[in-house]
Amino acid sequence: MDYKIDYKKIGLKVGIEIHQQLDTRKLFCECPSLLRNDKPDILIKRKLHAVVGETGEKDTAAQYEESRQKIFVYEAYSDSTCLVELDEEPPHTMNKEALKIAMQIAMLLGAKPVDEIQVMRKTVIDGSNTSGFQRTALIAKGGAIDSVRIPFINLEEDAGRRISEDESSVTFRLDRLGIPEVEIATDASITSPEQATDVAKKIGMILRSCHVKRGIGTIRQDVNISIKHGARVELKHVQDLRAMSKIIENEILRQLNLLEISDELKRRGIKKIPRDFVVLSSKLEHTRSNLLKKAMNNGIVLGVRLPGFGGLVGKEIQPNRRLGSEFADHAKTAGVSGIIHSDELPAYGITEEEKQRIARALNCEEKDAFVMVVAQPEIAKKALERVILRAEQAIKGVPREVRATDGTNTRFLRPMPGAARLYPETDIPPIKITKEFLDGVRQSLPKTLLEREKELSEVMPAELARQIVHSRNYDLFEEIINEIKIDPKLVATTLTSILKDLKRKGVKIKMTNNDYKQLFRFVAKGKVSKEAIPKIIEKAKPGEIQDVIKEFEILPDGEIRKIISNIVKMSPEKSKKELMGIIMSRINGRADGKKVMKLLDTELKRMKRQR
Amino acid sequence: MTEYSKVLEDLIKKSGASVGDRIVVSFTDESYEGLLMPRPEIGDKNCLIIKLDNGYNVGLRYKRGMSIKKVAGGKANLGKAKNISKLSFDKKKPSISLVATGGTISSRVDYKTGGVYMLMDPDEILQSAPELANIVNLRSIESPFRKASEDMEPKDWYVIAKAVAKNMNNGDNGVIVTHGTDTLHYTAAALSFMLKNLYKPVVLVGAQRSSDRGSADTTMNLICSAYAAISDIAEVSICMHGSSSDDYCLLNRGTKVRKMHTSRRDAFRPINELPLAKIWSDGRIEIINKNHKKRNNDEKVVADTKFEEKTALLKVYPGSDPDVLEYFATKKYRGIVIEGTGLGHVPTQNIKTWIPKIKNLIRNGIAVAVTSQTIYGRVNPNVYTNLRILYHEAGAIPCEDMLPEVAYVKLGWVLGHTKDLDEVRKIMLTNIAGEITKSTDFRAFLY
Repeated sequence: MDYKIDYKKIGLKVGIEIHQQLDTRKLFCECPSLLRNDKPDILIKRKLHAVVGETGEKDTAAQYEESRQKIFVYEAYSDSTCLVELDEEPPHTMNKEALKIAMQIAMLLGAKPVDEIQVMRKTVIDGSNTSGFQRTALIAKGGAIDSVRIPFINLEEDAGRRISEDESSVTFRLDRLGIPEVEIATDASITSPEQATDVAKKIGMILRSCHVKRGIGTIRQDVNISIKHGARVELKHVQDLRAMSKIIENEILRQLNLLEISDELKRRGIKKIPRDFVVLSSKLEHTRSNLLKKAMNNGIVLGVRLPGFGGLVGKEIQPNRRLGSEFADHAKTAGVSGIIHSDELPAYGITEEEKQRIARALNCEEKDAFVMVVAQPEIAKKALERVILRAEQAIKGVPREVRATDGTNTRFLRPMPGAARLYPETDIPPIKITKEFLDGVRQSLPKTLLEREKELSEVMPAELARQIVHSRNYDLFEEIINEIKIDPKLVATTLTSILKDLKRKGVKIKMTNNDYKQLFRFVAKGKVSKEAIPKIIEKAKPGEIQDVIKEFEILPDGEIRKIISNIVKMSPEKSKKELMGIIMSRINGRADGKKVMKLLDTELKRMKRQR
Repeated sequence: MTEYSKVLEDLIKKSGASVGDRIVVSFTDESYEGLLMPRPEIGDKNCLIIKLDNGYNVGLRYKRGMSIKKVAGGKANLGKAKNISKLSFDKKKPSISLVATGGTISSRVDYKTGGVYMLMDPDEILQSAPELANIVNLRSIESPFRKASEDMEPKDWYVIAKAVAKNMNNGDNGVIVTHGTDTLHYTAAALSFMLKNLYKPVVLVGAQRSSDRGSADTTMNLICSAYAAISDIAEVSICMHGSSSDDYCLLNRGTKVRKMHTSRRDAFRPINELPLAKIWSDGRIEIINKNHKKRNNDEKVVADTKFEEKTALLKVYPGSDPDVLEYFATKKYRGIVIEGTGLGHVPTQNIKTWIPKIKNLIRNGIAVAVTSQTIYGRVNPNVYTNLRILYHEAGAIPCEDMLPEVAYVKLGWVLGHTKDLDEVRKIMLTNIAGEITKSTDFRAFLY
């Protein structure tokens, strides 16, 4: 698929939604925002029920989840989770620090705070919230990044962490539930995959200027995409910004191909699909397919004809994903492990002859396709019903849905939730945003990384400034130059290129943030030369930084003179440059190069005079 | 009506908008569009609440130059659930009836305003547990009144008792009473004494989470209650979550159960006795305490609701002033239950001793009964001198292992039948409805 898509022509509209965790305690209780991997000591099992929403009808997404009838297992820790996360106690008042940070972010994005915040309940019934809803509040309105508008900025609680899932249950860990996060959603005015990446990057820079959590899983990007005649599709958790534009491209491709399939089905005059399920087990009694044999041990083979779908189920809609893959996604939600469709046969040990036999049993004609599943009768039927529903959507075009990323592809996750899903959280009174509070936020507004980059490029090369503000070590950099009187350029170089070089050499770096600070304190006092920095980092072991630094402490001038005079005596034939090399390697970073050079000059002059 | 400040009310009035209408709120430099919401009880009355199209409610503070324009009418019946389909029941299933009295279990959130509706169609309760149709034939649903349980009075118990008796004698296998949880155990105790000759289950049930949330405990509580109502356990009981999980409910005797937590699902715990049974949501019933009456469908129940409302419950504590007793005497109270300390003490040897005042009350024909604020355990009239003074000398009634709330309800009910203090003492110390256990199961503590 090499051709370049004209995004304007296809009416591409992209919006980005970013969730960023804040680095504070939880939003509605005093528990630490601490993710844990040790064994949880609390285990609670719950069921959630779809509730009648504002319109009096049960929400589609909610009903969908309920139909799965899962048991939700919640894991918690008695020493870092409380009754609030377990939905056994009403929420406490909103965390002021989190609100302050969220407001800083809103202001940096140019948004205007609302006068009074009303915390809302957003119905979520996938089990990730013990309460059945997520608490969320709109705190500011009308921000922008370049020309892309950010209509609203919300502060909300993060959901429970999905740990595992089987046929009957999903397990969540409540350590993440309630961690404050800001939600920043742009409007759908982004018109190319590259622009999407750029906007996401810029928002990321602003977020990182504030007191937010860092590292994997602390920021999540969702992308909304639609094209003309397509439908709005939400791609969840586009984790890697480098892959973002490729993921968007692939989604565009998928929608374009689905539209083509829809046109073709309409041309073939397909309107609906009869639900004529046929048990095919007897037709496959003597199959040599191990896959079928194994599965048929505790299930039946159930098949259904898809009129007019011949050749289309196997059509590639994304690299390595076919329409059949979409069918399989839906079938899996009923509890089967996958589907088998006619366009991929013969395969899996199923012969052409068996394929024909099945086609006959299902009354398939030439342009028809069929799908079969192997499972318990009830599950098999449910799975095929879901396949048919999806196939009927294929006639119409692109279904509105939420999709999960899978490499640079995406797969079906759940239908798009209905709109009417928010109602006030009556357990939390409205929060008045006072002038005093906003003044406090304004006064504490951090400089954005872009501003810092500009400032830093006055004391170091622009490229180095860019590198350090983008670096994972940026916070450490700021801490060091705030606490220690030292050349920022030296710190920046150390934390970027020197570390990179050491890593390239295969050095496993074991320095803690405090070790770095110790090291730079010695450098600042002139007790360690900057030449010794990489050597110290290379040798550093946890808890032993002092000893390592001692090893590299600067030699008194007398010592250096002694070394110089010895070496000069031993190799009087060598050039000054050669001598310098030998001396420096003997000194091993324990003296500043310029000083050694000066002392060497003196020594050479002295020798000359003697001769 | 919308509870906004005067300036906002005036602006709203001028625009002709009412709650639920679509309005545009303009300031000099910006404008917002959304649905006009009523003012929540708390917060800044000078802040106008609108619901934006993305579903969020936000507050906009009044500023000079603010204007409101109505752009479209709202939908009538804002936020009230529509399309409530009635559950249809199978007549062949065992019939039960339901008496709905209010509380979280029968309240709903208005999804737009966030206000809580108390007055909902009893049918709506069933929306929380459509599974009931697979278990029972719910023959009748009635709602004699709607009250939060903290607002209930003894008068309300009579109404419930009569409604239960009527349905039961109509041939139902059992009756479910839905009720707020705060005073659920008081009502359970009252029904335990008032429903005489009871040989069918009366199951009281409430909810600790409102039914508007996916995590509501209502569903399982109702399902388990239905199983309890058709079981052979012919007692007045409370059926609520047994653990924090949605796995089983505990069926606890109406006189041996108490709300022991403000918010947990499993707040109702058995006190001084094991629960009668565990009831799983799939209908399994595990009998834990065999000491209960068995069903007999031939018997008729009688609602004996005579009750002396001049009965009080109070608590002693370090520094407590016995003069409060005089207040009750002058108000013509006939019975007082005192929540004593430990084994059933009141301040005895200090300056603020309660003994003379108690003696005085009893001399004037007022019954004084004592329980313990330890909740668990039995009061004792003999172990310490001070106990002997209170019970043997002053003549207070030591209420065995009765809960303070149960002793209060029982004393009121006894005084409704006799004012003779000897008679009162005798009945108070006789087990009527499982309120006194002669021997306490070791496992019952903190169950």
